[in-house]
Amino acid sequence: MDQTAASTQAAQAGFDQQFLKQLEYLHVVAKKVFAGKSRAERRSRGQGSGIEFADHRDYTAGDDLRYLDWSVYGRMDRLLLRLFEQEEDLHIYLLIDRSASMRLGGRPDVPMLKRSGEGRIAKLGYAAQVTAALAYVGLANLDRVAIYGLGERLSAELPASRGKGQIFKVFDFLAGLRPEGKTDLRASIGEFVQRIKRRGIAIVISDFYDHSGYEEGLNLLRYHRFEPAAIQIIDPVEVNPSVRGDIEIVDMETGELREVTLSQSLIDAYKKEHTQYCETLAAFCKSRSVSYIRAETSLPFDDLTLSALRQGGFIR
Amino acid sequence: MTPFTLLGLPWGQLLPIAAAGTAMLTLLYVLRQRRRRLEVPFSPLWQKVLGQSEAMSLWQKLLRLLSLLLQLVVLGLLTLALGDPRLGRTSEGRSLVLLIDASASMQAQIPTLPGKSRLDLSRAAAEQLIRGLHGDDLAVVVQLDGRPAPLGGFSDDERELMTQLGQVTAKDTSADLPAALLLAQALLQGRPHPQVVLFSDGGLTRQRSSTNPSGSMYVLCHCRRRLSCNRAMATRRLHPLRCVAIVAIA
Repeated sequence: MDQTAASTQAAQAGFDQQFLKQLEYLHVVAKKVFAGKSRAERRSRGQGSGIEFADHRDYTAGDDLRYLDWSVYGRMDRLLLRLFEQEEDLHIYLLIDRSASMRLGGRPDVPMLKRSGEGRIAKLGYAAQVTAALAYVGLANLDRVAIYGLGERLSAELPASRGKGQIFKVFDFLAGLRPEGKTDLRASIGEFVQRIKRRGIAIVISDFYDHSGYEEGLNLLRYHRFEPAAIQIIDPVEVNPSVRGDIEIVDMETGELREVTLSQSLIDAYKKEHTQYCETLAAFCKSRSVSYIRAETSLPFDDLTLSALRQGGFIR
Repeated sequence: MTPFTLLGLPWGQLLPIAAAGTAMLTLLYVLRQRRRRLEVPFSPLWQKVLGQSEAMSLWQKLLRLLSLLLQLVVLGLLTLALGDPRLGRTSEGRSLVLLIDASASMQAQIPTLPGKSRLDLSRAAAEQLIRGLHGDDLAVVVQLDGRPAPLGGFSDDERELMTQLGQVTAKDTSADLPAALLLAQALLQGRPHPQVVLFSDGGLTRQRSSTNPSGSMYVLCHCRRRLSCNRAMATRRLHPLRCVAIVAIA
């Protein structure tokens, strides 16, 4: 891909060069230490050929003489071998919800990654931007980043890759996502944990509107020793509906219809219910040491990435 | 016997108006029932809220139906108002058009009654007729001059009719009787027991001879002068009204 096309693609996704530069200084935070395959910039359990000094051990025949600590030998007359931190790559799995409810906020005549004239963007578009930012942070730190689409089942896979050059594949992949179907976190994450053997951070970017519940899906990640994190994307209109009067409510995922006359008291009751739902999710995550952050699509995603995600402990 | 009688538009015109209005209101009601769609990402949240307000929703549906019924009742009343209904009346009463000749000749003074014009005598005769109306009778006064016109609406109120009568003033024109009879026919259309009473000095015959649609009429009134009366009677083929009374003023 030539440089101009790549820049255009990045700009379409809402990234400018300055923002990308800022992302390069960030790291995705892993609370656990995962074993990687390749040398990278992550400390591993193992000791090896990194640059951070770890410890000494006695020299045994066959050890690499280059790691002998000659200054210790000079002072103490002992042959000790210097040990270094083994720096390995981290696997970052970005699980993006592409169910029909993520269509909210978008308009058919506006590209998914763009904001409309009213400043609104589809939740999926916003989630894609956040995903791309996290992917770039990971790729810039030589972590392995893979992206999966969540819906009724696991779909749309971008296999793990390393290096900043891979970001354009990420843009391509995210631009191709279309919101459809129902959310079934249990089924799709269940499929994910069965397929993916290499453990790592699994960041679920979703609205977490799952008719059968989000708990089992997140628990599956924990049970399979991934480090789960949750970013809940919500649209301001779903938090505070502006319509009043005689309305036909349609569920975006199930198509279920319900006639209702919306009054202010009903809206207030709904807002309370919605807040409670989000707080329950936050409490669930907190009680299970799952990093959680709630992001409204009205918040510029670079602010979210550079500020909110850092405060939430996702990146540093 | 109906409990009221319509003085305004007859039933034949009121019913189509009411039907059209009802159709329009019902159409608007149905259109209003077509609700706006609101796509929500997660309906269970709404179901929780709406479950609590189900009873309120039923009450709102009932209120909406009641509002339609109320609108239909208001429409019915407005339509009925166009018919000008009067309680306690029967359909046995007559409908009278009092044509008061207000042509130039009616300004002539009567030699035997100093200070009295022919128009004064006409008014006096009309007043007498109005006072003699039955409770179910309705009447309207029409000034018969070059451009005949009613001086009010049909009424059974003596004071109202006297007021109409007081508005009659003689003009320096001739009387257009054919136009007045056409007007009377229009006014009496669809009304029970129509009658036209003409108060005139009889100076109308020359005009009448020019327009003579066929028809029958009855002359019921008395005449002060036989000549005038005869002249008036000679005009009985002027218009197809079933009943015309002529009061001739000499």
